[in-house]
Amino acid sequence: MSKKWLVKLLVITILTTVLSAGPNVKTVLAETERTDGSYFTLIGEKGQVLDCTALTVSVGDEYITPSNDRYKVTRIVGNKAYCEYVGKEKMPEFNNNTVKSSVLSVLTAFNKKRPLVAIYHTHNDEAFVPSDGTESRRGGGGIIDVGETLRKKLEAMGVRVIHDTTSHEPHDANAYYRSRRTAVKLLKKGASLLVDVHRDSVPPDVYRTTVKGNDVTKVKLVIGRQNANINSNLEFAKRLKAQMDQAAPGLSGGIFLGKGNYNQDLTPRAVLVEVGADSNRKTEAEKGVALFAQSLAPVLGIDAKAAEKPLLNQEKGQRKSDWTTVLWVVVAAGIIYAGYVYLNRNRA
Amino acid sequence: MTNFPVGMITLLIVSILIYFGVAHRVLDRMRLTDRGALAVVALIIVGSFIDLPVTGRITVNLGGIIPVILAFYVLARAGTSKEWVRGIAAAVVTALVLFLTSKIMGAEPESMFVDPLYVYPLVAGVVGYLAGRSRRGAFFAAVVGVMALDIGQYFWLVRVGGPGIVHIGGAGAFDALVLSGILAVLLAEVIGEIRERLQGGPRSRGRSEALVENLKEPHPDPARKPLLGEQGDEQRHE
Repeated sequence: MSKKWLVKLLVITILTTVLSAGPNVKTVLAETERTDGSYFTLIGEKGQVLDCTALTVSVGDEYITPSNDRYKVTRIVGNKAYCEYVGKEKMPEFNNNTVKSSVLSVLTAFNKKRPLVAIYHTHNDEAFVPSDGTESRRGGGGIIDVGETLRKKLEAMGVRVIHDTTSHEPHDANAYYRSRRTAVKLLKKGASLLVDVHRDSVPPDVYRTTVKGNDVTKVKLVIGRQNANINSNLEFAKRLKAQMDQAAPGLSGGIFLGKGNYNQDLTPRAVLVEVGADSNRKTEAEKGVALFAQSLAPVLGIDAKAAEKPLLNQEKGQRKSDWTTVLWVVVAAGIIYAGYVYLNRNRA
Repeated sequence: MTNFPVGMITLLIVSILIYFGVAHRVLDRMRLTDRGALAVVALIIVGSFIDLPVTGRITVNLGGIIPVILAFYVLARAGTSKEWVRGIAAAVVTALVLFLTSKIMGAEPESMFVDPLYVYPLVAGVVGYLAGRSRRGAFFAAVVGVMALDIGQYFWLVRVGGPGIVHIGGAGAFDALVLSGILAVLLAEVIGEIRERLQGGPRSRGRSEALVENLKEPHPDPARKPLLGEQGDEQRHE
């Protein structure tokens, strides 16, 4: 290859690296800063602390607080993310005696199987320092035990569960590239819901809480904004949060709408959960996830108290959001196709 | 699949139809015949259900590996050794960029400014187009460059001796390997077409007569395939 070509390739390498990762160079800085225990603090308009989270928060990220106030990050100074108040998030009204008279009741009548929940861990190495002695353990950290607790709890309530402990290491940005394969494998097995169980890395007080007299960690739901299913996934997360607020007040750590898609483009029923932080005790995280399981079962149409048969759980909001997403996907595809046809129109 | 509302089922079906429609269109643009492109899409779908263990540490999904085979096939048929060299160079650069990017991007969900899934085709599309100004180059760079991540993971696993298996193309039709290849071609096409539009049509000076003839619309002879991908690629050779 000629010298000119080598120079060209070098320029391409540098340019594309900078372009593809440029805005995130500050992530590296943030990660470096994190060694002294720093993290991002979300601050509201009145200067109140809304939440703390590990690593970088970007402008445009949104957060629904445990009290259902929706905020959007507008400015970032150092480790502080200043947010503007978007409004009170309309949460679904949850009713355990759900609608039974729909087309679906016919479909479900044919299918006697109960919902299948698939639990997996994109970051299977995550661990809890006070209990595991380290924040990351190769091959499987304490987070696997948290996933196992979730499995046992759900199964006890009559939900079918697969807990997949496949390793997606090393723990880097490509972990989602690898866990995508696990997610698809689980969907092929018929999973109705994908739950990617993580833990955060912030000081213990951010997640520490007391629910019904028990010391537990909060559970935060994370939804990716960069996927076509965001409406459906967010609606599902909101129903889940509404149920948590009703059944275990104080358990919810809110809903974070981050960048990325976290494999949520694969199905309209996927959620990423942050169960506590690396600085919390694993036992507290396990108690937190057990309470979370009790809220998850009813949302799936399983009566947590009497789990003999599946109930139909057709919430109007969820239905509407599914159809809205269909419309968006079709409109987006139409626009792209029109652009494509335009670009390839007759070259006289 | 229980408790799946009608809206959600429709959403899944619509998404899948659009996805495979686009995939077919992209393959169509890479020297494959209509039937050939359809066969490849069908193979990817059927192959998605078949996992082949290669070694104790590697399994290969048949659906996910087809784009890799196809990448070598389209490049082998590229004709010139120049395109070969460029395709391979683009794949190496893509792999390098993806490796560097993974070091810079945060691993935590909250920290990413864009999902890595979209970074792969973005990098490969741009590199592939710049290196060879061809759709096939972009496809090869994307598929082989992204597969380098698996090779990297394999060596990492061997080095640290930890548990774990490399599932090449494990997500079948929805694997980042397949998605990256398709999106990279679309990206290269959009860049290429817009550039041509801006310069007022494809460059024809100094090109062989047969190539210039092929650049015209295929309408007069409906039996002839448009073969725009082929011509676009060929005519862009320096």
